[in-house]
Amino acid sequence: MATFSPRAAGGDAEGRGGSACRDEATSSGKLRNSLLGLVTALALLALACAGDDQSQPATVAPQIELQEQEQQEQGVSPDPADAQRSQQAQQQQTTSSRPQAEAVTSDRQAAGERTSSEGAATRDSSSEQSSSEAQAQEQQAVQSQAQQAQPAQASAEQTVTETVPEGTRIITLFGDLTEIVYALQAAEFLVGRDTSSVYPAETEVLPNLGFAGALNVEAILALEPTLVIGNSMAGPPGVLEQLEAAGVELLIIETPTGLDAPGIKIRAIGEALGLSQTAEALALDVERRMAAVLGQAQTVERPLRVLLIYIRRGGLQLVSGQGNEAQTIIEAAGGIDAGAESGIVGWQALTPEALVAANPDVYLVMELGLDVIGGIDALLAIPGMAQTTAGRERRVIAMSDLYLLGFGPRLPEAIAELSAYLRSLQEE
Amino acid sequence: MASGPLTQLRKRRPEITHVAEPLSRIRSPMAWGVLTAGVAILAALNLILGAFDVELSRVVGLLFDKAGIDLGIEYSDREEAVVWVIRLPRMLTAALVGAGLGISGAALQGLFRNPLADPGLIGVSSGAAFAVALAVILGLNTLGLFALPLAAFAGGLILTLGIYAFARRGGRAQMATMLLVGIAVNALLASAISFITSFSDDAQLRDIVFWLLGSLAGSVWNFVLAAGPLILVAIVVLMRQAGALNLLTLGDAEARHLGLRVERSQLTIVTAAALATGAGVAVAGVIGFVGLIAPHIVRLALGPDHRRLLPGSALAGAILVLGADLGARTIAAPAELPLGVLTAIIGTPVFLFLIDRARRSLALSGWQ
Repeated sequence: MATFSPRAAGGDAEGRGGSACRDEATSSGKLRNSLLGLVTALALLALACAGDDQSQPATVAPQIELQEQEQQEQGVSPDPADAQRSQQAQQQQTTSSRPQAEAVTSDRQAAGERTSSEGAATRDSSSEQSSSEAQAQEQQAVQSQAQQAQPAQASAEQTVTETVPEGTRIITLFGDLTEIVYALQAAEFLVGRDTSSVYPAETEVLPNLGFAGALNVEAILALEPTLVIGNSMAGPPGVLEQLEAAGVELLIIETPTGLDAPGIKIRAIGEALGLSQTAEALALDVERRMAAVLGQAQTVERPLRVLLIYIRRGGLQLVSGQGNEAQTIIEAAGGIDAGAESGIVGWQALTPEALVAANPDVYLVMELGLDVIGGIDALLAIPGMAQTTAGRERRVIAMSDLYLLGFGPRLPEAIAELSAYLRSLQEE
Repeated sequence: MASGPLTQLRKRRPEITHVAEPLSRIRSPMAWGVLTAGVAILAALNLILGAFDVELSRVVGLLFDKAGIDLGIEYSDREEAVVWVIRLPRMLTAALVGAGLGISGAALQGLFRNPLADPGLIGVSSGAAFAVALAVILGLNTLGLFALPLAAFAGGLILTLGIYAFARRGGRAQMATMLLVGIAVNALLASAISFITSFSDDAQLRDIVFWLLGSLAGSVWNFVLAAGPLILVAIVVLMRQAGALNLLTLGDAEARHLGLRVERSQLTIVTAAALATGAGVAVAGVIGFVGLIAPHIVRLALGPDHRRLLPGSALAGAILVLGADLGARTIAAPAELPLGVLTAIIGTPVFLFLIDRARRSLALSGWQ
């Protein structure tokens, strides 16, 4: 492809570098004949590519400013107020779900963002004298632990000064990636996003390029990006080649479905943006919070069996099993993946028999999926539902898919929230 | 090859020519003008318009510059990338794929003597789509940009020739049998694809759906260079079969009696149509409707003579796909619309309008 743009010499070099990276990844994928192998290789290569590119701008503009340092510190400790808010929201939902135990619908995004609902959350949780108080205190302890660690980290980072190179224009093509750019305090460099990038709410003002799998190359180029960050969804095939040929730097991040996913993504994006230290600090912070959450979540005596149901627009209904993100997060939250346990591998079409075979204690659905099917009653009307424990007890947990399955910087909180829901159901 | 039997045909079919000729003779020059101008204008618009703003003068200057004529018009590297790396190959792919689908549709409608015949019916599209779905689920799509197009091309061609071989068992190929076998196999593969998509993840689903809906978004020069020659060869081969197709409209036995080597023509036409469609599906996915509707539009304007119908359908197909892709790229920018949706939106009203006009003028001339 490079041969068709002899004028764009710089773009050419990058294009070739990029394809070399891809070739390497391809051969390793062939050898292992598994997607996971490729995914890992690509992530590593993305890191390598990003490393190369990072050295370039660093020599061009090594800016040392006090302002940037401040920004740094903010980047290191990702908004303690936010953590507080999320904790409150969590508390509210835990308590409000208690009386009926019918359906726990998380609207954490809204609760965390809007101050009005934040106030409501506080009132709610203070008025309710429920037994979950002790549990909430436990969570508080976990969080303050994490927060204590943060200032130390921040002061250690004060000596380091790094900036996103002047004139960087970023487009992110998936919700978790956009979230990470925000968490790295580099949102001012964002010029576009895909339709799944809905968190934080500020992303709404960015031009929406539609579904990441059906991109319009020209629309991307019209935003004059210098860096496009995507994952395996980015497409259709050929579009990435066209972007490379047009001299746009590409960062395609593939991640395993493990709990290390946020760290991998954060570090890869950090390196590409020239914010390796900030990213490292953020990744360490996420890992620290994760460790704290895991330590608490896995002390459940009698784990609940959870089945994730994924409902797509257009009538497709799937149940999740072995090897999916859902399994990782359910197990991390102290539950058992009922799908994986009943022998489902990957995704499988939802059938009454699959439901009965899995016989979960709780159904986990995506908020959007619940909307698509038309609410909890419609969900529980699916044949086979009534023959399961979760269906009889009307136990449904609905969470935002980006929050729960995006595996971004909020993963620890998502696990904590799911874990809290599971515990509150258990105590019935 | 065709000139011998054709002269015989002219002498022997007064009724047919009587109906078809006057209508097409009147409309012919205008229709040709509209078709050629349509291709030219839409091709130009596809180069000029897009989500990325490039001034007309710069587009012209850039193209002349590439042709070795320096007009002294400055343009940026980005603009060059947009016009030369993105728009031009995409425009050429659209025109080639559309022409291939249009002419294949016309040839197959003639071959099967069935106005509902479509390149999809002989298994090219479903074979290609199934091969792609299979390749995606097996992880072959990670082997490079050309892995899926190759799978699509091979799948389409193999299935078509398989259906032909099945229909031909025991000597002569029954075109009606081939049509029925094609429909049955299409149904089978459609459910096989649904089965595959039911347990594919989002990324795999995207790749499969991309092929099922059709899109020119990923058109790169290499696609033009790979698919272009195949489609052009197929177009030339099909044009040379125009006389044979005219004879075949009388029926296989009649055509054989008139001196046509029926089986050889059938195989040539089926292979060429599969080649043109398969190459198109390989680079742009399954673009429905064009192969069905382009020949009908042209038949209403130019008459049923395949010597006009085939080139006319190629032009009409190119117009449909160029126009649809222009819409796909620009209407919902910065997002992109599915191409197949737009071919139907553009094609159907034109088709209905032409049917209505033809019905009225035919009614006036007393032909019902």
